Amino acid sequence: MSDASNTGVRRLHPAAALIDFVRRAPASWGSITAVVFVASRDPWLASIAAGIFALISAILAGARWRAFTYSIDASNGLVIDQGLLRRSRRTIPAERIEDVSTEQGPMQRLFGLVRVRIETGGGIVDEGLLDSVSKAEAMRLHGLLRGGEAAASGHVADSRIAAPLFEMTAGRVLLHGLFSFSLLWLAAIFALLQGLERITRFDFREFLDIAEREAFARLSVSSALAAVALVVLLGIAAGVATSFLRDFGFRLTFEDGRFRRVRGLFTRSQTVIVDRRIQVGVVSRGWLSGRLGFAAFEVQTLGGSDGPAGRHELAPFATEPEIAAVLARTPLPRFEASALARVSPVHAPLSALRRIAPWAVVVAVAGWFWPPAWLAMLPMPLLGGFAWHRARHHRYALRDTSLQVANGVTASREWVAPFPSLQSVTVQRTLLQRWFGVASVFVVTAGAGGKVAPDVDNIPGDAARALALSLIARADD
Amino acid sequence: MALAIVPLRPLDRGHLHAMRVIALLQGAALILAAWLAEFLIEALPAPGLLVGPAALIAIWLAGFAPVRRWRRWGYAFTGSELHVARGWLIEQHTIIPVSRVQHINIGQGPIERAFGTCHLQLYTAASLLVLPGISRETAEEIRDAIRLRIGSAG
Repeated sequence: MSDASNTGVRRLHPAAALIDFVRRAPASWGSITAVVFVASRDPWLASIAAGIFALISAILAGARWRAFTYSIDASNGLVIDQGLLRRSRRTIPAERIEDVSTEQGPMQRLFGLVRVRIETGGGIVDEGLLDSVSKAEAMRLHGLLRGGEAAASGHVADSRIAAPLFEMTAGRVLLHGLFSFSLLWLAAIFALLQGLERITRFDFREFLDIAEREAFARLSVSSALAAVALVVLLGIAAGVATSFLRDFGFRLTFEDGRFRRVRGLFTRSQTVIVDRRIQVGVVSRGWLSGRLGFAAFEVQTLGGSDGPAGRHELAPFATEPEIAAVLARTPLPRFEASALARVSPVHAPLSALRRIAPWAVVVAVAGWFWPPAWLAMLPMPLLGGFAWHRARHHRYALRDTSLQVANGVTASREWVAPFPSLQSVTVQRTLLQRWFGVASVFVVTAGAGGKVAPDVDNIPGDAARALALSLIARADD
Repeated sequence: MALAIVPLRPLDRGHLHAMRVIALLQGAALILAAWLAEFLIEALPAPGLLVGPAALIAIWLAGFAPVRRWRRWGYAFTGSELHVARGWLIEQHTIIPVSRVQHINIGQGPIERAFGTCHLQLYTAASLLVLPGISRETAEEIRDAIRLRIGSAG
């Protein structure tokens, strides 16, 4: 495309400066104002401070907006210049651009703008981000950078072209939420109370003392149960809310060798996962949802992902046939649960020990200073028991084209790692493992993020040696 | 190495001296920190309570530990993969196939330069393997061999 208008230098939409200002408000002038208010308790001084810092912040947002430019040209691809003090120029050659994905946060939706993410093969750090441009501009960029797909995929945050490969109804999102119990809100409320205490003159501690006395006066089995029920209900509510925010309207389609995934309630995000870049697949089941037949299917891709633990969720909460349908479109082989072999019987006790030991040390040290701390040892057998039971089902096998590993029985993970995804293999043996004649094999795969991997823990030393050498031999093919 | 996956070669002797020097520096820093702590904390029952153990640790670090640690390293380059083994409490044997190497770096810190060793860094798509304490010729041989393999394959 040699159209002159396409090679000009452009800026982001002016409203992007406003969005930037609002987004940074709490962190910048908002918190400064809060500090001033708390320190001086004088609303006038705080207002003046707010005004001054807000003005400075607005000027900076405007300057940042002015300093951010981008352009597309045939030889360089996409060039992004940004920065006030430290100017930086990011050049993304057109060939390295895998896709142009879009996102709409609530602020973007308000102004009809779109956040454009240019995804390359190099991982998150090599991405380009245009926050934010108009929908028309996003379509233009999509067309230019992705070639002739403009017509088909120019619809931002709305892909009804292909029949969905996997879709989540509101009911399914709700079900997923019900299983995602979350107690984060407890921590949030405590933090809020702490903060409020400093700003107002209200003494929460006194309030809590009175409440405590009243509670103990009226303490009974029923009121205690009611309190526990309240905690549980709030936890479930938090889980459901999070699920809706993240997965409402989840839709996965497959076309032309790419998966296109749309999800989100307030922030609508559209992501493309290129089929041939898929490296490793994982199916995870929760302890209860797994029993009912639901699982999550995630993949690792070359270049990583910004999903939690560095993986792309292709199906957050799906039944076995649904997962099989999605899996069939990936280059990953089927998971053959029956073909896997157990690891050494020593794995269960060693695993339990590894789970308990640090906790035990902490409790012992605390108990030496403060005897009642020894009570914390009580849950230890339970923790150890869980770890033991989980570890008993660790299995692995070298299949035709992949390494397959399974972990756990109630809350389980099943890995499929095709040999081309293997980057390096490490055989590790601690002192304890040496005594029992076992070793662990750690596998590093392409696109891995997070801490979990298809590692094989505690197999006999010879088996570890053989496994490592086989993996390397297969990787070389 | 007790893991005995492939026969391994030891690191260059010069690296042992480099490790000793670094350990000496670490020991000195430890003693200095302990002395400073004693100087600042007035509540100690007897002088030398912190410096004593620190000095003992420093002597072990610089006198006895380096040889043990040096002996625990081993490497082997088979032409199609690089093996690096290390550790005693936790033994680790890492293998990287040449086909997975994205790029190679040969580095040399000032202490390494004094003793004629350098370190080799192999980058894959998802990891970094460092082989310290080999001579420059060995490092360059490995690097050239890998480049040749990668070049002919792709």
